[in-house]
Parts: sequence; structure tokens; C-alpha cells
Amino acid sequence: MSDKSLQARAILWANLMRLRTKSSEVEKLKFLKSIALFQDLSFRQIRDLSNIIYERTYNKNEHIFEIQQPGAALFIIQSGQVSIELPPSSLTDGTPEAVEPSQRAAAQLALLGPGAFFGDLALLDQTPRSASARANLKTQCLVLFREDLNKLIDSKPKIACLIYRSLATVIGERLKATNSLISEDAPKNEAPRLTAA
Amino acid sequence: MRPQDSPPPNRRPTDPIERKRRAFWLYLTLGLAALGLGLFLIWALRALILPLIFGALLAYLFRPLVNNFNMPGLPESLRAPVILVLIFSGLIFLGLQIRSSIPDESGQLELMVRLQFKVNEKYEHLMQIDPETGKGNFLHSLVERDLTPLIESLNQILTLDLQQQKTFLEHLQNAEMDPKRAELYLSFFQTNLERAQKSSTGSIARVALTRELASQSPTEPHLSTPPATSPAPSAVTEEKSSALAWILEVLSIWVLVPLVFVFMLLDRGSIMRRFISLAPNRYFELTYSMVDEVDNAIGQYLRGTFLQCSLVGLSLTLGFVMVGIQLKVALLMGIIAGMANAIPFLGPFIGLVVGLSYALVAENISPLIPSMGEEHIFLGVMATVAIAQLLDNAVFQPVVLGGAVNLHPLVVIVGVIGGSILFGFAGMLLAIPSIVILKVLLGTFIRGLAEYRLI
Repeated sequence: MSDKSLQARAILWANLMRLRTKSSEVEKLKFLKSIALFQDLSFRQIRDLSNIIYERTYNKNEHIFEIQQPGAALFIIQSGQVSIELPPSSLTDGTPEAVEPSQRAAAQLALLGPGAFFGDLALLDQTPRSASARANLKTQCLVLFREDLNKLIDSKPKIACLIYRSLATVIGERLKATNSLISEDAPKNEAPRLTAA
Repeated sequence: MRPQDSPPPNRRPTDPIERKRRAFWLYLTLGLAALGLGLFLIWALRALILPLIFGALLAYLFRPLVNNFNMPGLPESLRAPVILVLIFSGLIFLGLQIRSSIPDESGQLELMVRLQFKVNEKYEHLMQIDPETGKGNFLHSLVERDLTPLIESLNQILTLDLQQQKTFLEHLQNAEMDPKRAELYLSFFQTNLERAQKSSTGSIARVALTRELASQSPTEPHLSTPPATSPAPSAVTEEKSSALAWILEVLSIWVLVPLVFVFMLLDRGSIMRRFISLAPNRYFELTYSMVDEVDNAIGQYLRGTFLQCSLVGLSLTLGFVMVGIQLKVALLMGIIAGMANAIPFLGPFIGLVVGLSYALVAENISPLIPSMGEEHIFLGVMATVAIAQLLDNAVFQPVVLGGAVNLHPLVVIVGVIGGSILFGFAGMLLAIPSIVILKVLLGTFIRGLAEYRLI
């Protein structure tokens, strides 16, 4: 192979690699745009947002966070599967240390796949996590911290406002759903009514 | 059974326990090597520590300006250059103002002669020392053993060497100098010489030569022959080259300050993100929370201290102007005393010494306070420093710092002394911020570990 063709091949590969990097970045932006919380943002705003988003990879059965830990971030599943669960101890006396690991059989609350997000209440305050999150498979997550979102209020208030509005909508939807569940399950005259207004 | 179905346990490369063991030893070895290398580098490059800290502290001070800077119509790509130009223009302007307030070499020599004369005059007046017998009043007999060596060493510092004496006399012959003032300063100079002759520190030959110099009228043209003791040309060249090498060395180290400042100022969190990304999954949220909390606490403390020192400096400048000190000199003294105020306990004392030193040599003052005469300037300076300290303790510190980071006074004293032993004046200045950083770091770390149930 001549020197010229070797050179040409090197340039081609370098450009291909560059394109690949760029396309992965574009994929990430497209993925973020598909998330309900960020649907109102433009691509330019999504790009600004992606500067404060972390990427983490969790192995199978690895805990992402545990119940009662202080919440600091929202997690978005990019690939893999996450189980939201309550350890048995939290259903009894509230002390996870009191139960032997072998006796633990967590109650699964939800099984989340790519595109789902969890830990969103941590974007509002530092209340402890109400459940644990564990990776069922090897899982890749995007992470947005509350403090970064707070700083966004000063530096890019429009983006922060749009995210908070979407977050309020999501929480409102959940409240409505919970309300209707309670209404269906409990006898009509005894049901405590939660208002989502 | 075939051999590949039951390989010996120690030969299975994918055995999880074996892999974990290997990973443990690998991480341990790498960790220890990194720790050793890090400690060696810190020791070997310790000269770079101060410029790095200084640049980082400056970046901390200006970061809110960068974060909240918003000019309508300015593209985002131009924001950073505009901010940098604004900051550097401001710093250069301030530097030029300070530079113009500092007297040139002959001005400094004039100040030294005046200060030496006034210090001796005031001391002899206060102690009522008889020039013949050398004995003074009761106070003199009480403090003589302690104060006399201090005054002597101050005299040694302020005594001009031969080259300086020549420069000073040339300065007196300057056409711009008022003849009356020149006569007065010459008399100060001669009195200082006579005093040096009396004291054991002045050598006879030196005094003889300086007398010869001083005997010339200030209006005469300056001496054409160099003094007999002037250094040989080779020695001068050597001295100059060593001074040049020293300047280059200092410049090469301190050139880091603007570099660190610019990079840290314009960094959009990528340094922090890379650092946090290194944390294992288990400590990810904890690491972020810790770094963020420490970052906020340090930023608030540094900006608070800067604001507090600026307010003290401003109060002192206003006070000095009111008691009659020229605006330029008052501004310079205010900046020095304000900066020194960052050093606990010692700072106010430095401010007082600077103010009183100038009050000693101040002439033709024009106080803004009615019925205040030239003789009251000492009192005025002391009152100004006292009021500034009162304001600092009662208003500036509680309002600006709000007791966010409280240190025990003993820690402060030991820290300031330790800082001065390690890094001199700069160490003294940076000791408390460094201790605050360590305190916040440790406190947040331990609290975070408890909150995340890791301890």
C-alpha cells in the first residue's frame, strides 16, 4: 500500500471517528428531547442543559440509591432497567440494619426502562429517598442535580422555568392518578379526597 | 472428565473472587503510587503552591460576575472575552493608581530621612532625654532596656547608605524642590548623621564621608566624582544579573496567577464535573453534594472577606482624608490596611502602624474636621483606626460574613503564625482561608458520610 493511500485512509478514519463522536452527542440530545421533562426545550436549550448532565453506568444489581438517603439528583434511564423497591425492613420497623441481607425480599414498586426517570422529587428539596433504586441490568443513566438546576435559575432562567413547569405537570399527573386509584379502591363515602388543583 | 471442564480454581481468569482480589491489589498499588507521586510533586513544586492558590482565590472572587454577567445583544461567544477585558482593565487601572501613589526612589529616601528624624525627635521628647548625659525621665528608666534596642534597630533600617545619601542630596538640589523645604530636610539629614556618629552603629569613616557630602549646599550642582567606596563595575554587573535572574524566576512562577485565574474563571464546571465523575457509583451523589457545598462555602467566605476588607479599607481612607492626609496617600494606606485586615489580630495593628508612621512625617495637613490642628493628627489616626475596627466588628463582619465560618481564636493565632513560618507574609494572609477550606471540607465530608449511612 502506498504512502498516499495510507494517509488517505488515516484521514478517513479520523473523520469517521469525529462524526461518530458528534453523532453520539446528537443522539444524547435527541434522547433528552424525548424526555417528558425537557420536551418544551429547544435543541439549543437542550444543548445548554446537557452541559450540566452527568452520565453514569451501573452494573446489574447495583444500587443507584437507597431508601432514606438524602436525595440530590434526578436519574433518567438511557439504557437498561431499574427496579424501584421498598426493602422489607422499611415496611416493618423502619430499620434496614435490623434485617439480615439473606432475609431481604424487597417489594417491587415499579420496573422502569429506557426513557423513564425517577428521583424527580429530589429536584425540589432534600427530603430522604422514599424508596430504593436498583439496576436490574447493566444500566446507563443521565443525572441532573438539584443544585445545578438551581444555578440554572440565575444563569439561564428560561430553561429552568420550562423544566420546573414540566416537573409540576408530571407531579400533578401523578397526584391525579393516585387520587383516582384511592377513589376506586376505597368505599366511596370513606375515601379521603386528595385534590390536585 | 476432560481437563477443560474442571480447570484448577487458581487458573480461572474469570473467577469473580479472583478478579476482585486482583482489582483490589491493582487499585491499592496504583493508589499508593499516586499518593507518593502526589506528595513528591507537592514537595518538589511547593514554590507553585502560592501562585496557584492566589489565582484560584481571585477566580473565586470574580466568579459571580461571570455567572451573572448579561449584556443585551452580546453574543454568548463574546461574553468571556468581554468579561476578561473588563476585569483586566479594572485591575490595571487600580494597579496604575496604586503605582502613582507610591513615591519614587528619591521620594522614598526623603520619607526615610524625615521618618528617622521624627521618630528620634518624638522619642527624645517623650522620654525627655538630656543630650549631654543621655538620661531621661522616669518612663525612660523604666522602658530604656526594651525600647532603646528597638529604636536603634529602626535607625539602622532607616539610615541611608552612601549611594542613597548621594541620591538624596541630588534630590534636594532639584530645581522643583522648595528651597525652604530643602534646607529643612538637609537639617534633618545632618541631625540623623550626627546621631549616627554618636551611636556605636555608625563607623567613623562613613560618617566622615557623609559629612563631606552633607556639607555641600543643596543648591550647588551635584557631585561629579563617585564615592570612594562605590562598588566595582563587575560587582555591579553581577548584582544586576542576579537581580535579573531573581526577577525572571519570580515572574516565571507568578505568571501562573493570571493563567490559573483565567482558566478557573472561564471554566463552566468542567473541572468539577471531571473530579466528580471519578467517584464510584456508591459515593456519586455524596461526592457531588460535598464538592458543591464546599465550593459554595469557600466562595461565600472569600467574597465576604474581600468585601469586609474593602469596607474597612474604605472607612480608613475616608477617616485619613478627614484628618488631613492627602487623598492619594490616604488611598494607598487604606488599601494596605484593608488588605492587612484579612490577617486576624495583626491586621488592625498593621493599619495603625502604617497610619501612625505617616502621621509622624505628615506636613502642611489640611483637616476637614474643624478645630483640628496639625498636632492632633496622631489622635486623628488612632481614632480613625479605632472607629474602622469598631465598624468592622459591629457591622461589617456580622452583616457580610454572618459568622458562616467560625474559628476558635487559638486556631486563628496558631494558623497565622504557622502560615508566616511556612510562607512568610503571603502565608500569613492565606493561612485563615486555607484553614477555613479544610474545616468546611472535613465537616461536610463527615456529615455527608453519616447522612448517606456510610459511617
